[in-house]
Amino acid sequence: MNIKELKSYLNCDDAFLISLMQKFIDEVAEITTIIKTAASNEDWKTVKTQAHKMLSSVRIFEMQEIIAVLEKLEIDADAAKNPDAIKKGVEQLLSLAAQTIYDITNSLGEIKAVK
Amino acid sequence: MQLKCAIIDDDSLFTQVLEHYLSSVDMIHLDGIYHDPTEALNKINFKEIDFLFLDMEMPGMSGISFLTSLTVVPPVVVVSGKKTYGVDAFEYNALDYLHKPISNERFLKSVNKIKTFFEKTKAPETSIQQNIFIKHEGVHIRLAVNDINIIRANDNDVTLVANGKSYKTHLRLKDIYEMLPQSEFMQVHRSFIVQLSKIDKVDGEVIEINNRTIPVSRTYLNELYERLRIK
Repeated sequence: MNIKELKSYLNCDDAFLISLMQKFIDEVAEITTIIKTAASNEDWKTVKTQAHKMLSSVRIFEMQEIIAVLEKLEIDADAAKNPDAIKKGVEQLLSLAAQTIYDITNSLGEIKAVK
Repeated sequence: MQLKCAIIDDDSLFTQVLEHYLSSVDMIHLDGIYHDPTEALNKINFKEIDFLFLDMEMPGMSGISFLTSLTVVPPVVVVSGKKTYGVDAFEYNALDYLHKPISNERFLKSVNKIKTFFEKTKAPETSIQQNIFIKHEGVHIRLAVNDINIIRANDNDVTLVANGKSYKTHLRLKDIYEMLPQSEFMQVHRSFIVQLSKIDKVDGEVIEINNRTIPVSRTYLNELYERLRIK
């Protein structure tokens, strides 16, 4: 993620970007928890709606790897035909989400340090 | 020109971005953000809103279901994470179709489209035809066009209902209709003209405005449904 490009894309200052990134971290943490619980209950509808919700957010930050996982997860959960594929997708998502939160938190620290 | 809008989208991160973009546009006032479409249906005063930013995919109610549940559909900027909703946007005469994520540059292009649309449709009527004068009890009185709900032809005169009051005039129904903005008013019966945005309910061949029922002639029924976008 390129902070300078993102600020230009959103036409925003550091303060707005920090609030957005903080909200993103909270949202990713919340959604992954919901998805994890829903997957263990085989509640594919919730997996689908939450994957869709998270997609919108990660697209802002152009995180291609997690976008690809979420897009597939949304399709698989909507079809609800292959529980193994969905569970695999959820595992991939949980791993990538943890990395995403770590990366964004680091970027957040960099912005705050410069500020 | 000042426009009022509302955002209906369950994605709180996106609405934060859109709110940030809108804060730099003086012409547009953000009236509210709704993450729940059902709440939006109950809380938004659609007679006061100029247009909506509407997400197509929301849990519980899709953007399409939302639009079909409205009596009078305001202009809409369709927003979606999927490109497949472009066709729906076209069908609902959307002002624009925004595919998430949306850059500030793309948003500003959308603002230009919104501005152009309202300059063509809204400005002439509000600046020129805000009021009409009618002769009531021997005196010419001014009525704000926006306050007029119903115009009824009686045997020898015409009654205008505006702001809960009735005004009798000897003008003909046809003459009054010509004084009003045709985009806002419609004749629904040989004896009735109504302001479309004031209609509260449509039940077959009967409409309701402020608890008053008005018959709709079969001649006008199809046009009425089309203009209200009822399917």
